[in-house]
Amino acid sequence: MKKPGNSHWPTSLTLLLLCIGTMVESSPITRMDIFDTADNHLFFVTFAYNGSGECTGRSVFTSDSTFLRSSSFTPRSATAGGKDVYVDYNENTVFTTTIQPSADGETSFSTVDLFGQTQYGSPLKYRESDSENYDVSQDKTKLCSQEYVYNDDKELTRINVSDKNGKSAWYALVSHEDVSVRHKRIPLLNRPVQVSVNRRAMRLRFGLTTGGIVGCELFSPAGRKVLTILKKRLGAGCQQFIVKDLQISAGAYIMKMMVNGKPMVNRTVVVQD
Amino acid sequence: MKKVLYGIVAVVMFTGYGVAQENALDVIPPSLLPELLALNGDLETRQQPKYLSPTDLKASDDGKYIYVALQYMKQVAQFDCATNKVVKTISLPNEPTGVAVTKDGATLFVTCASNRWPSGVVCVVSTETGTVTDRIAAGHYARSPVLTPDNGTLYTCNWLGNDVSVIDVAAKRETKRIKVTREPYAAAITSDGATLVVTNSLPEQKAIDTVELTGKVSLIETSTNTVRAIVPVFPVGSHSLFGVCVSNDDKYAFVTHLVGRFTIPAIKWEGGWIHSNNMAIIDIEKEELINDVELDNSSFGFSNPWGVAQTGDGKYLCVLHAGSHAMMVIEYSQLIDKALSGEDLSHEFTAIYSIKNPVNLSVKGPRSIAMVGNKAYIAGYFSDSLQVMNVTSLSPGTGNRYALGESKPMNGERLGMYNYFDAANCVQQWQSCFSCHPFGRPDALNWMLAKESTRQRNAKSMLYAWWTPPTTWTGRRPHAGGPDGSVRAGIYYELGITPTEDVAVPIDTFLMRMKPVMSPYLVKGRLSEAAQRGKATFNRIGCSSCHPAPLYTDSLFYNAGVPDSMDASLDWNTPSLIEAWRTAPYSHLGSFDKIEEIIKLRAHSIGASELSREELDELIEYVNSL
Repeated sequence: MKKPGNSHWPTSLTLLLLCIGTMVESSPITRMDIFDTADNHLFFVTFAYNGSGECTGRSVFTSDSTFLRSSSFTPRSATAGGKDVYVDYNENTVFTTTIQPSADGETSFSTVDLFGQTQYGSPLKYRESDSENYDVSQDKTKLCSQEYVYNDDKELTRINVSDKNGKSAWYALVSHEDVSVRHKRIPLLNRPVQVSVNRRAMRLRFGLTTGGIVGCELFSPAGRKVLTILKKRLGAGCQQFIVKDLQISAGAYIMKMMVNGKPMVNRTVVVQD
Repeated sequence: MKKVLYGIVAVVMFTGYGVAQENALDVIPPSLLPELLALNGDLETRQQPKYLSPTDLKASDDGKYIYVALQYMKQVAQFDCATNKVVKTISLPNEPTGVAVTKDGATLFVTCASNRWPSGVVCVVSTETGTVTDRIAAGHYARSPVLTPDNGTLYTCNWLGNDVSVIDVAAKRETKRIKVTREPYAAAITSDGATLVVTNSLPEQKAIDTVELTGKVSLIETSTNTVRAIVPVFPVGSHSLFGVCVSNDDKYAFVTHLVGRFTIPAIKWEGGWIHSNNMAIIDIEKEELINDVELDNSSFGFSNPWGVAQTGDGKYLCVLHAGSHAMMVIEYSQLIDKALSGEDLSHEFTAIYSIKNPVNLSVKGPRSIAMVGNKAYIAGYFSDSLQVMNVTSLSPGTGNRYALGESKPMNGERLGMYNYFDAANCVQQWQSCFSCHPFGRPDALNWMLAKESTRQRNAKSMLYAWWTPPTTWTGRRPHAGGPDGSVRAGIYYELGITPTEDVAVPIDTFLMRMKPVMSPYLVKGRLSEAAQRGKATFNRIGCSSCHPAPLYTDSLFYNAGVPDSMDASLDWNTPSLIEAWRTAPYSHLGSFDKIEEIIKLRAHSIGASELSREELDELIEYVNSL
């Protein structure tokens, strides 16, 4: 957010705009984890950005971190249409996806393999049915609906997917880079917050600009608290903790960190075997 | 002034929020998640219905429930034997390939793997809550989970990894891999837990071996978790060892399989001339094959034997025939008497004719059977139901069918898969397309096909055959599909019927859409460092000239340095290298059981023949990663 150049503007207005600018800054989406309604972690997607902060590609992994495919594309708007080129299976292009908006408000999307064969009954179409709700259809038959859920900072945090009968079927948790922590929102916990975890050990690294009581807990995707990793008064500076023998099953969890009771980090971590 | 300021603030706030949301839609447009779910087989579409595809089932020890693995639904169904209804479905992260139940019935161990995600995982499931409580990593395409009687150890057959995982149940961790011969598919354990019997579904030898080429059974000593014995399943040409059970008295293992009579020209079908459908009987203690029994009648085949089980009273052995949609009920004690008689029963139609009772099933493609007492529960892979019948009181039309879920009509691709498995497309139902091309891949044998006279040709994979014309080693057929293609020629010459379009077109569709399985040589889905160096070598020394990406064939004909005294031609169609890791033996003669042997032939590649050992290993690693 650029500071207004007009020196005649009252200082209070400048501060107010700065404050708003910080509030609404969109943290880059770094990862999306997909679950079924039984909370089985199915797969996840990571997103890549260029120096201008534009998303330039993504990679898809199974829940045990096996690479499935990556896609690259030139930056584009969701409504402007375009083409994704999927690369998978030994670095060869296997799928190509095309998104094509139409004047009637529907956007069609279609994936073909390297031989031009359509996949999954392409093309499918989506249409915004309500604010932040999208219906996906095939030949005018509804296949599923999506609800995009945003937090108070208007960051996309979750996508709920219901099946053709309206029954909840899948959901995706969207992780953002913790820009809000790096910026001035609550200048206590600074970056980087690095997490390295498997079933036998979890390593947590972060920096504190001032001291305080730091808590770190793991929650299941359904919101049940699974484990308290850390609850300790810590001084300012770089901190590192290694917690051994986690005694939790492999899968995806939500890691929440708090400093002096204030939530700081809300991140999906995947615990592997 | 104040109003103006509020206005500016409101505009900035509005714009700011709008940008945040628009950015999110740029990164995750509403097409992305449905597309990912559809490609992952989760979101059902018209082209991709989620057929139940029951692929394995197990009964709880108390006989109250049958647990059915529903492959494409990514679920296990809990079937209540008292009410004959599914009372619970359990969602899984990947396609289930097999189920094991603990003695107390509280826990299921479900192996999961799929073509999209073949790295095996065992899901630990609480039957009370119907949820996955743990995941345990296993080997490549894990299936056939077997618990020791004390429930302390779980074994899985890592089908395409060629090994068996040993899993410590308490620690929820894999502790060992046991190497077996090739493509372990089914397993059973003795009631004392001492011996695990594992079927290796394909022979591992060169296809030019006409003396010892057989599928093998590995007997694993569970106290040491080592292979105690490897039992060849004679006669020569045995393959597709897909079913196994241990007799109630622990003396014998029964292994279902095919016998490919590849040493004689495939010029007729009758009498099991090309394939017969058999069952091996192995003495577990003596570690030897005591006999092999043909299950067919002289004038009618019972194609593709699969699951096998003994009734609770021990009087009958039941064998499922997936290609003929039938169950063979055999009187047990007389079967053993005849097997011990010393007479070779492997191609003898009359020996067990009077003691077997073939029962036509209403479920299609039966692969798995569970016995509760004398009651058989049978899952048909192409049916959405379970057939239940009392084996001791069989009569025509016997047994009831109970729904396992929503029934869906077959689309073209699914119908093609069904036709591919269906022996009704063969004279007297001796074999199906699947018999020579299990799962669309080769059976590892050389065949002298009807139109190729006496010249042997190694069976080819059907993966991408549609896209790499011409087909066959000689390029005899210009295409896989269409009126003059290999599919119709195969049905006509090898199955003996004139293919109608309603049979052939769906098979074309099924083969067109077949996708490769990720190689076990990849490391978490990516080329290893050695394979990356091998890739550079592959391109540097010119392998990519004849095997260019992405299909790794230029579809042309070359002298690849494999002499063939039986044929005037030295030039053969270049095979694709995709899935080379699972399609041994190699060359048109199947005369190389390791890819290395053909790579380093000087007449095949001068560049490869001059590589250092390390470079050659890296090149092999790369080819095996494709």
